[in-house]
Amino acid sequence: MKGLILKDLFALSGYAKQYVIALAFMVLWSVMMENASFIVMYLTLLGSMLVLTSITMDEAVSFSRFALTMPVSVKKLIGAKYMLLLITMGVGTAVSILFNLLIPLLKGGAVSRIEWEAFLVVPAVYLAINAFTLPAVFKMGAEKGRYAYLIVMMAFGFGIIGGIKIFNLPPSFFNKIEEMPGAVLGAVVGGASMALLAASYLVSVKMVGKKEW
Amino acid sequence: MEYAIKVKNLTKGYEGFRLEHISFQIPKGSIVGFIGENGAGKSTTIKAILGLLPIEEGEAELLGHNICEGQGDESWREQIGVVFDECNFPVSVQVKNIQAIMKNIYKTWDGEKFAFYLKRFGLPLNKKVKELSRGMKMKLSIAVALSHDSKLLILDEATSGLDPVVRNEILDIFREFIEEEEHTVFLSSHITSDIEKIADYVMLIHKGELLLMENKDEILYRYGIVKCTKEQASMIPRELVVGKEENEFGASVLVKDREQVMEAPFMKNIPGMPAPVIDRAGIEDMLLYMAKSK
Repeated sequence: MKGLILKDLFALSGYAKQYVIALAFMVLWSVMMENASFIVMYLTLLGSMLVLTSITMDEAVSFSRFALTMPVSVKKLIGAKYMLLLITMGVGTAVSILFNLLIPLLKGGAVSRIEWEAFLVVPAVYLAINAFTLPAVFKMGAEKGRYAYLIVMMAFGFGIIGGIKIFNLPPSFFNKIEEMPGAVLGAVVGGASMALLAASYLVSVKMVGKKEW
Repeated sequence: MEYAIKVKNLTKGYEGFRLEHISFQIPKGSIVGFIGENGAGKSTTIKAILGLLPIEEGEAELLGHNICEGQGDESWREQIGVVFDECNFPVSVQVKNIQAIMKNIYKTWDGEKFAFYLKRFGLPLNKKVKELSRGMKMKLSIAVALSHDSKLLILDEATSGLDPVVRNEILDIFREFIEEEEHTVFLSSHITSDIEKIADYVMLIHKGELLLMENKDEILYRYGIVKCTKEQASMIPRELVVGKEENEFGASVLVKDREQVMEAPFMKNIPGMPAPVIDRAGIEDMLLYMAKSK
């Protein structure tokens, strides 16, 4: 699997410059706004997009077909993409946390609880979106998979808003979440997103296993 | 005789195409040329024996490993090098990076061998795959296929679209590879001149049906094309006729046994009829006549 992940990282290295330029702009913006919590939204989204880009690159040259002639199983082939997602998301979150710690140091103040929660919830939501989307991407291809991304993202947005309205959730419900100890919240949100991702991986393996190359 | 590839009753269907009960065996230590026109079933056969397609019926064994069994243990693939008709590395990867990638995929990866082939092929280390010419890309793919413990090379149209100089260089590499007794090359191509130069055996497929699997030298020695009148053509014993082409000037017939036909009475000078001419048949003739007659 290491070789497959390395291949993706080498292939995506051309995007590093764009990544750094976008990050520099975000940092500048966050210094001006004295709040860097939105960086995590951008970098985790970028992390998902990088995985999709790597799948597009593979499709363009039929890399997966070639890889399956090597000592590489479908599980490893798919697992490498999920690992890449965790890497890009992890790096994005770590960089976001770093700037969120640095900016208050420069400007004074401290990182609020809601900002810390953003570092947990935003990557978890993106992981969940990917968990729903990646099997569709593997089945239909990256080009159509982009539409699946948009649909799942919109469904998430509408689902949350609709859920609040339909179930008429009172503000106290959110206060209860707010009051939850950080470790519990982390375990619930992180655990749920990782469980979704694991289920997604199994579905993707099954789908790709049936594919004709 | 030991076989590198054994295929029995391989069947696979698509809409409008069917690979029908294909059976063949490829002896170890040989180069087998797999020919057929576009869409004849060469790539489908190769993908099926590599386990890239679920098959409907039959079985395939590569180096003694049944491809339908033992999912999860892929180590047997260390001994197989595959080259498709395009370079399958993402275009933004640099040539030098392939070393790091492949040594983490193949346990038997030989970095020195890869470096040797890169040097021999004149492949620039710092260039990205997209900056290489088609010939260079194919050489890169071949270098990768040869730089692990490959005992069986499977190439699907790997030389198509290349100029004769590069093709010749690549054929030389296959000749060198085959010097090791255990090594086998299975090469699909519609460039019959390449097959004629290099193959020990020729396999011919047409519309999903395997029409021929024979020793190349024997084919070239035995088969012939008889050029004669339509009347003379009808006198050739049917069991010797492989394919026939008729036009307003006469007929040309591909026959299985040139010598037997030469001895036939109709080949003698018959008053009022021109003497038939018999030429040796090449691999391309085999393909053309067999495809037309089916």
